[in-house]
Amino acid sequence: MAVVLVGVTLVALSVGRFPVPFLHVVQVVASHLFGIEGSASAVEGNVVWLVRLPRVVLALLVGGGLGIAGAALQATFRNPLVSPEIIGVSSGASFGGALALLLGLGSLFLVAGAFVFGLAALAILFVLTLDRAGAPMLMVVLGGVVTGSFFSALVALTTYVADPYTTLPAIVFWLLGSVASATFAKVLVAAVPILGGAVVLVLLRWRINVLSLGDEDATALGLRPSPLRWVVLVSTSLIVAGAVAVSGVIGWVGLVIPHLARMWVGPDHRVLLPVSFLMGATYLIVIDTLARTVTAGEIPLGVLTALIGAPAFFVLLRRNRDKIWDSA
Amino acid sequence: MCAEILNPPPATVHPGLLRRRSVLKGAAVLGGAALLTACGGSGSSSPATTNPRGITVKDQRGKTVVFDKPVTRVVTLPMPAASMLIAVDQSPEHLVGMHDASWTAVRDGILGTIFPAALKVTHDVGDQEFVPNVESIVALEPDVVIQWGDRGSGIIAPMENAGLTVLGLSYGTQDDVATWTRLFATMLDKPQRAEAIISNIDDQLGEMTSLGDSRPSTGPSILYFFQITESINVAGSNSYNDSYINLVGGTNPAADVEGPSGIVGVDAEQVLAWDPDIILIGNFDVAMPADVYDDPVWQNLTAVKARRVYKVPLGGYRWDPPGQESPLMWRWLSDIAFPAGKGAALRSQVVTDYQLLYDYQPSDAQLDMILRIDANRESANYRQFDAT
Repeated sequence: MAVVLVGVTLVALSVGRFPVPFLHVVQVVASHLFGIEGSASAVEGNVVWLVRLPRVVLALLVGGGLGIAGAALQATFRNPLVSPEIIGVSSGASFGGALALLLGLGSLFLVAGAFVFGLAALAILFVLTLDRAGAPMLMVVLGGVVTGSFFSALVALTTYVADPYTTLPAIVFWLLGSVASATFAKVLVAAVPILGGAVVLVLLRWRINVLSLGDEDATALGLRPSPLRWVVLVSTSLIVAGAVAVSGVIGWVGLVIPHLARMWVGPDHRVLLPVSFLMGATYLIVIDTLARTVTAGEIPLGVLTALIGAPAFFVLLRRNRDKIWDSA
Repeated sequence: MCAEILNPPPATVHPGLLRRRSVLKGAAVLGGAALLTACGGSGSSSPATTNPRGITVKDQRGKTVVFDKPVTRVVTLPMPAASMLIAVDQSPEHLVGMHDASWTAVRDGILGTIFPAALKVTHDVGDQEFVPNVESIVALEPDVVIQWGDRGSGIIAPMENAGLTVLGLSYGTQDDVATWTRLFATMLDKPQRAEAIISNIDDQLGEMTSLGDSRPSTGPSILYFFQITESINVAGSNSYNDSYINLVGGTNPAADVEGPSGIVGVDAEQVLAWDPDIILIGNFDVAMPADVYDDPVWQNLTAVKARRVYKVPLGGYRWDPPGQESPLMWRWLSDIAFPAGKGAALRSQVVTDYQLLYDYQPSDAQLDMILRIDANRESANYRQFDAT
């Protein structure tokens, strides 16, 4: 899978609306990384290094992050319908971003706003479920749904008061989900929480396996499910807030990629978590490359993720009906 | 017969009106209109006729409305309608309510300075989706409410059910500006205002058309950015912006992409591939030329290297979409695209047009503000617009 991801990344770097020969793409990357001078022109250098590369890396991080976050959440809640949206962090983060756009603040505030409000949503979830002995999963899910609805309403409020000719189009575009405005600064902002969260999840991989057996079995095996669950929640929230901050809400990946990965490698999270990351990353790079290359106009990412993903998922579902969840 | 010829059905209002071919056709129609004005009475040149029973107007939905007497209390919801009504009336005295976004444009632009009374007009008549606040509108006791006529009946029916008289309008071409102007002038019973404003637009359109036609067939490529900061949206083939780029003799590199409203989202790479000679930053984004000059992504663009990135001016209303000040936009773009040091002529044209539109003489400082002299200071050929 890692090989596939590297291959896809290279292909994505070499295609685009601005024609750059593959050799020049390699030269540009080499000259930036190793200082080897090539024959690529300055404009080709800009296209590959400043336009394509941040975008591809951002798609990689966001897709991978959402994939692994979804897989971890589905295991933790032992529910195949759970996705990063369900714990309310996506809505919180989108409100923070929309607010920054509404107030006309810069990109830095957009990212900071998404981040702060994403974590605020998680904090509210904490408070909602505090003092409930052991925080039963139902409370957490219910709390997440309530928090999510609350922040969705606030997002609706921002679009309601936004100027339809100046700020509203920007908010709507951002909410649609896109990695089109990628820069290295955004890559950095996304990389820290996403990779940080992903590393924690991968380190917890065998504990998540135990957690997915259910609280009683986990306790019997010597694990305290509640603190562990919160560690998973905080890690996924970090990932989701980081992803939303730089790319808006990209649906579908966090829900479906874990299922695809599970069909392929089975329910063992030691393998499932890294594979979900790699599949999510590959998927989003492919989709985003299509979004920016198929037509001169940019196709909204959210449209493509579902239009291409849904039929593919349907076909796989028909073939692997028995594998989808029963065995997990 | 006059009325028939002079009242083109809404079907003739088509997008991309200003493309060369259409310009000629339009000029013929409008030329005919000017001739035929002589044979009709008041209102004959508008989509309405004055008859003994009152003033009849037909809105862009095709609905006919009869007023017993000239309207004195008007509420407007479409954003550009408020400034256009003020221009036709040369006063905000008959405007009793306007959309909040129109009001903020009045406050932030020059109209608030010209007409301080406009700032006192009620502006809580609807939300951002143009859903009317029926009760607050009824409370204003308007003779007529101006509303979008092409965005479904949901935003009109509640007002009509409450007994209000509503005119439904559509927008997007220079034709619509003429239609609105005639409509407003007719209901205010000031038909001469419509003639004055429209013939000024037509005269300048004719001038600009022959100027554009006299230029080489491959003028500079001009890319209009609707947005550039967070997302990149440019003017495609069926946009109004495309029509004036062609009018002045430029070419639109984005002419092969289309979007529902003419504005399309594109990738930064696509912009680099187009490599426009001139970049226009519209008034729907906060970005200024300096932001583009400083962005490493755009460093190799021809427009950046030649310092030909410009912020579109903002007068009584934004110059980017069609409006009563559009001829000034055409002249400005023409001076930018084919610099000949004629900036002083534009300044005096602004003064002339403001006299006609608002009965107001802008000061040098106000002209600088309108033309965004500060924001465009670093851009090539902009010194031509400096005050002399």
